Amino acid sequence: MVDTDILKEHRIQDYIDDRQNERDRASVAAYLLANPDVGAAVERLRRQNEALKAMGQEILDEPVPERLRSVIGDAKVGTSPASVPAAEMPPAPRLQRRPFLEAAAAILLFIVGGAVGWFLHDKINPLPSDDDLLTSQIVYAYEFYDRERDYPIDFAADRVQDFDGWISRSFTRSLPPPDLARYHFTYAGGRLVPSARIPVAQFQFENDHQQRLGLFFWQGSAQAIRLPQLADDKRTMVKIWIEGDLSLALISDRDNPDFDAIANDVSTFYRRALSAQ
Amino acid sequence: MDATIKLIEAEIPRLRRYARFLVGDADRADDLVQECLTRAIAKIDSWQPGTNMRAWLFVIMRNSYFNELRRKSRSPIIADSEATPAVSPGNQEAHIALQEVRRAFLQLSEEHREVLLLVAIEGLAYEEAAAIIGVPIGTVRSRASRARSALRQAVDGDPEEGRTQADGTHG
Repeated sequence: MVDTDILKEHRIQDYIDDRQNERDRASVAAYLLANPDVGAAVERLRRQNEALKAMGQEILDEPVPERLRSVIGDAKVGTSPASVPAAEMPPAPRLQRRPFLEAAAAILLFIVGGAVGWFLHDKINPLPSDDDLLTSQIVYAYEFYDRERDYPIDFAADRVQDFDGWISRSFTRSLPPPDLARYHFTYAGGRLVPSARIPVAQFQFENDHQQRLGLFFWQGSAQAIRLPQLADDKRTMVKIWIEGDLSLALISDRDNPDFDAIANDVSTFYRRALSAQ
Repeated sequence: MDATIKLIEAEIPRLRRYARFLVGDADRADDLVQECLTRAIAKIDSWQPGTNMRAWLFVIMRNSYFNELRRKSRSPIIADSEATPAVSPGNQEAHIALQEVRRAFLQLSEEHREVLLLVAIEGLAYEEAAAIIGVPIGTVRSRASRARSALRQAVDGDPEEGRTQADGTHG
């Protein structure tokens, strides 16, 4: 937006959005005063931002329609939301319904923190303010993981090409899901897990017996998030390995006899895919 | 639970504005808000106290919208709003600058409109916008920066410059 470095650009964006404390704001104001050309450009962006904020202001001022208030009113008196289709109703408590997913979340937390910290420990540029954010976003993302639930970026199996488009943007390469048909697992869908600093992608597979298999992959660095108690789960198996600059984690229920073979095939698949790019 | 319901209730005006940007038409927008509220209340146990209620509701509504588009096999877009102003006409002279910005805003790519909607209009934190869109914070920051530049160019009357392309990069 203005001819300055990334840090200054971020600070100027925060200035425009009025997201700074007094000290930072004064610092940017002084910089703009000393650089009148930049200052003029920023002032125009600030005014533009004010106009943006005003867009739809009258909608905020409108009285809330009765039909919307009645939804809230029904909730306050405990009336069930009858218009929600059964398929869209919330699942039972997660621990009862999807122990595998709980364990997978725990493992994901562990691997994103521990594993990345393990092999990139001397490459990390700590940004402490993102630690909690990364943790919470992964937890948040995982807790919403369910095919019946809502989360920002998810692609059903029939949209695998669309998902690959997202992956290509986030990982700068195409990374399709492996074909695991020989193990009777079919691709069930994928998602891009929101994270503070690194994109984490997930492919989900299922077989006819409702067994599940999750493949997570990511690149880049992350803070070490040590939650060793999460590694004690006995219900799942996990393998973590590195292909090039890509880290992969395969997670499955513990009773999957083909787990090692699947991991080998997945590893081979991505090794070939990466070497071909 | 009542406290959480009150938090949801307080966000209805914001939801209505976001929905208006998503679908354009006021009645359809309120349909979307109604669905969002119903689903949010049904899933109320999924909300984590201490997290941003608005961001949580936006995710639900955004996904409801895109799910509806998929069901109808329509192209997923943020606005349809070119034909359906989010701002009522009102006093044209008084709103001329706003109309210019709105006209320019509608020329932006879907990605740029969305990031400005979340960051500049709704005032969400970058990390919250990142969680809603599903991209890293750096992507939101760079995308917002490019969107602002594109908007400025569009306001200045260079529609070709202002008609942005979805950025495929992050960081």
